[in-house]
Amino acid sequence: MNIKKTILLGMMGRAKRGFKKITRPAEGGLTLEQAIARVTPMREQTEFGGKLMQRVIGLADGVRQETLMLDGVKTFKATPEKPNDKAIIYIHGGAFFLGLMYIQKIFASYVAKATEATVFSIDYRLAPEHPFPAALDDCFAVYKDLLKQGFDPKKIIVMGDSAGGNMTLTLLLKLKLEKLPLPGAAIPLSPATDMNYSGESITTRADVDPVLGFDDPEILKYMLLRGHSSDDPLASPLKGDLKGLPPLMIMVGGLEILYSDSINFAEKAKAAGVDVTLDIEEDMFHVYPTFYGFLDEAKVALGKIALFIKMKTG
Amino acid sequence: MEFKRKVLDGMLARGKAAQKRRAASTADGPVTLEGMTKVAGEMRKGMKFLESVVMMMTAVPLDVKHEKIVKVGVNVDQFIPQKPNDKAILYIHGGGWVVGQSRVYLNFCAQLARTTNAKVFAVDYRLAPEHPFPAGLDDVFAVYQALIKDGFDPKKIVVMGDSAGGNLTLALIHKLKDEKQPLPGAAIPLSALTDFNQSTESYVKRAEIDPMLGASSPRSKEGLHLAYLRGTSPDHHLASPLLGDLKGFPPLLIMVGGREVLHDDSVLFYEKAKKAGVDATLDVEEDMFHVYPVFHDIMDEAKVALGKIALFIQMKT
Repeated sequence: MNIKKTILLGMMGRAKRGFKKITRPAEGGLTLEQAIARVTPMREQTEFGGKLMQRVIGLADGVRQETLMLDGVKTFKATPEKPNDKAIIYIHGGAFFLGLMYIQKIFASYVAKATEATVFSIDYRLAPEHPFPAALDDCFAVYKDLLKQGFDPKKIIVMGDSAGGNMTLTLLLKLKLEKLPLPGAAIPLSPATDMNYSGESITTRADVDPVLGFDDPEILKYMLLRGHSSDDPLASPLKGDLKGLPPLMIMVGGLEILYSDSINFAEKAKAAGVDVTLDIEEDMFHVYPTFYGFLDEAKVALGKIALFIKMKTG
Repeated sequence: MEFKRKVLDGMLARGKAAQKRRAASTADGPVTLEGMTKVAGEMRKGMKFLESVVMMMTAVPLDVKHEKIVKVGVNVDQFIPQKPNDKAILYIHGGGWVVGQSRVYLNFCAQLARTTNAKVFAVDYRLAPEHPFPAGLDDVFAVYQALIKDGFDPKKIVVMGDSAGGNLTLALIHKLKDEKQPLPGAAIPLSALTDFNQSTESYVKRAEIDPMLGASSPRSKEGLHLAYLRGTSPDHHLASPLLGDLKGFPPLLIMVGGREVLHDDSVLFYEKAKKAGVDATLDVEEDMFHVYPVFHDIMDEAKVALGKIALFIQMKT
């Protein structure tokens, strides 16, 4: 195993312990203050870890970085040297409560370079301070802003990992609901598709997952949904009507508790007539494609992402 | 730039310099078969050197089983991943029709097998000038048929090759069409030479920025025609697949770099295939050079390219 992968797995192990600690059971429920106190140390650690990763890996050459406000939402724009007419909306992960600004900037820059599209990574509002549907509203606002900027929706790709994979899918459902034009393609990476955490792999793959682990999923539900139903398709896209969704490429690892979330969603989408490509890497873990620079498998995954975008959006 | 890439660039520059020297040399008089045999010997020696350097810089994965086998009298390098699916990739190496299967491809073919979970069969076809056209094509054709006999569904076979092997990839499809044989599920030519007339713009415009291949000179063209075609017209569709009827070709992923004299060979083939109604995808990496996807473990761009190849195979077969 190479040294970078070893370092990455070390960081992942820390993250898993962090998630477990945050989701330890709370008798009599949590107050908002208690919830904030639980997530704060992990936010600080991921900020430090993210900065370190950016130092070690570096951003892709020739990609210009800007910070913008799009309809009031902070967004990082990554522009390649010769941008084409495509826009990628990137929605980062972090269980809805971590802001992975540094890590997402690395990946977004390599995506911009490989696809020659302009990438907009959304720094959406986080739970528990801003519960559902604040983050989704932010993503929706950025999508509408890109339409206003003149991007052809058929040339927009929505993509995100983990919680961001969830919002990649819920954004599509919200656009359907609001009768707005859908994007040309969507690429959820290891998405959480069911906030009831009912997928089989939540238990069967808990031991092999090096990144994610939750002691009491109710804590997560509380932080994000604050009493809102977890059966709402805008929270759990698996519960939605999937007819009419654009071409999807769902990428997931075999070593993850969210494995079933991808499989179940792919099956339901296929049954609804959606053009679905499901890519499973048995030996890989949660959101592995985002670790460009650490893993050869992430470079291979980036090639898949780039070709999928080319084939589905011209 | 990474160290490995610098080493590779140095190797390529050495190859290009040797090629230029040969193209300019008139001391040997007219192009003869004897002269071409000598050139082939030099190229094979050069490949040996490249091979040893590439082997030092790559870690061939141990979870893929590599074996040398003989299929219908043709030498084949077989690569079997740990959990093989029902797909086969017929891989046809490059080397200007005169250089044989080398260990340069060992890592790439193994990575191809483990990433796609397909079995990979790399054909060590007969070479020019000892065995001119259509000997190499006949060998590839024979191995393709043997795979079907082995039980592979043609729709699950992918034909793929680089440079001269990209040419043979496309020529094989013409031959299968001619002989009314079942076509493969997909084909992936990498930096293919598609027209032996070698008269496209990129031979001139991209010669300087191509770190591997130089402009085609009348002498180099004559030499290649003599060594490989040996009197067969360069307009023959089994030699220059661009010049044939492309109707009915299977889905194609055509990959090429921007820094290569063969750039237009891919672009023209793509355009003609599209017009003929073929499901073709063209992938041009402007900063990359001839057959770059082969250099897995040396360049990140090759790893990205492998992802494209794997997804294409997954979607089309």
